[in-house]
Amino acid sequence: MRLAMTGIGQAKALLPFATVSRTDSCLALSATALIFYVAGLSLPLATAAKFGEKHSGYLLSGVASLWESGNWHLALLVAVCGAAAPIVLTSSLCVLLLAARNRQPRPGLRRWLHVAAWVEQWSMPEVHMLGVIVAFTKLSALVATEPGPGLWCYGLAAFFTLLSWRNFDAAGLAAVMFPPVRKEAVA
Amino acid sequence: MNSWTECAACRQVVPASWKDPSCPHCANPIPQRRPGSLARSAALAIAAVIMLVPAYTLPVMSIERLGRAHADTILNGVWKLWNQGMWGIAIIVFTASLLVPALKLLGLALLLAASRWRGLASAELLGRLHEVLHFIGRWSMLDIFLVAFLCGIVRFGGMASVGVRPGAGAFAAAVILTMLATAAFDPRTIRNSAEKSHSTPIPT
Repeated sequence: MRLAMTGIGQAKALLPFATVSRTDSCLALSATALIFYVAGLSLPLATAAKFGEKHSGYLLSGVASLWESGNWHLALLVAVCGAAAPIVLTSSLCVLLLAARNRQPRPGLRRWLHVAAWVEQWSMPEVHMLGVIVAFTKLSALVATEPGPGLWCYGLAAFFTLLSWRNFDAAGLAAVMFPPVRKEAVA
Repeated sequence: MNSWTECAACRQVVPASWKDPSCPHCANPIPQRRPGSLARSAALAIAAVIMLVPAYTLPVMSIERLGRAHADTILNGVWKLWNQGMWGIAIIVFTASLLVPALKLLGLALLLAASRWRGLASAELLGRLHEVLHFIGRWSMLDIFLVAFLCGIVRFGGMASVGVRPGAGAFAAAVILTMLATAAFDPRTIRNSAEKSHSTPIPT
C-alpha cells in the first residue's frame, strides 16, 4: 500500500525487480500474440478441395459468408469474439506494459486498462480455435481439407494471449503506475 | 467487520466504505450495489432458457451435397458424429453445446435461489460457483464458431455448401443472454445473504 501512495516521480525508483521481470515476459508474450494474430488473419486457415475445385478459408471468410447470407448478428459476434476483441486485448496489454517498462506513468493509460478489462470477457480465441478443430473433423466426411499456415498462427496467438493475460499483474501495475487520485473519499 | 471490493480493471482492493463511484487508482467505475441485480439476472436467465428451446429444436446448419440439402439440429449433429465413430468430437460438441449451457443455467438458478433464500449453500461454495460459471460460459460459443468456419470454407455451389439455419441465431442469443445473466448477478448479494444468516438470533 505504501507503494500505491507514492507519487508518479517516486514510482520510477520504486518499481521492484520482480515487477520489471514479469512486465518484460508479459510484454514479450503479448507482442508475440499480436504478431501471430496479424499472420493468422492474413494467411489461409485451411484449404478445401472438391471435384477439382479448391477454396482457401481465412479467419474472416466465415464472417463474410455469414454477412452475405443475412446473418449479420452472427457475423458481428464471430468477428468481435474471434478477432477484434483478442487483438484489442493484446494491443492494450502491449501499450500498458511498454509504458510500465519505460517507466512512463501517464493518466491516459488508465483508459487502456479499462479497455483491456472490459474486452477480455469477450475475447475467445481459444474457443474459436477448438471450434475450427472440430469443424476440421466434420469436414473430412464432406470435402478434402488441408490445414493452412494461418491455423497454426492463430492457434499460437490464442495460446500466447492466454499466457500473457494470466501473467498480467494488473494490481501491481496499477499500484506503481497509478497512485491513488482521491484519498478523502473513504467514509 | 471490514469488507472490501475489487476493481474490475486494476484488481486493486478498495474498502467497501469507499464513497466515490470510481477506483482511487485507475478511475474505473466501481459498480455500486445494484438493488435490481437478482431480478435482472433472473430475467436474463429466463430469457436464455426460452431461447434454448428453438436453439435445440430448430436446425442450426444445413449441408447441401449434389443438389440435396439436409439440415441438422445440435443434438442430431452430435448423434451423427457419435455414429460415425468420432466419439471424442461428439463428446466435445455435446459438452460445449448441451451440457455447459444447461449446467450454467442450473448453477445460476442455485445462485439466485441461495441469494434469495439464505442457508441453501455456504457463501464460499457459492462464490466458487460464480467463478466457475463465469469461466465456462464462453465455451458454449464453440458451435457458433464451428458453423461460421464451415460456412466460410465449404462454398462449392450446388456441389457442396454449408448454410446457417435459424437455430444458430437462437443458440447464439441463448449463450449471450446466459453470459449477461452471470455478469448482471452481483456476487456481493451472496455475502449479504451469509451475513443475514449469521445475524439471525439463536432462540433460547
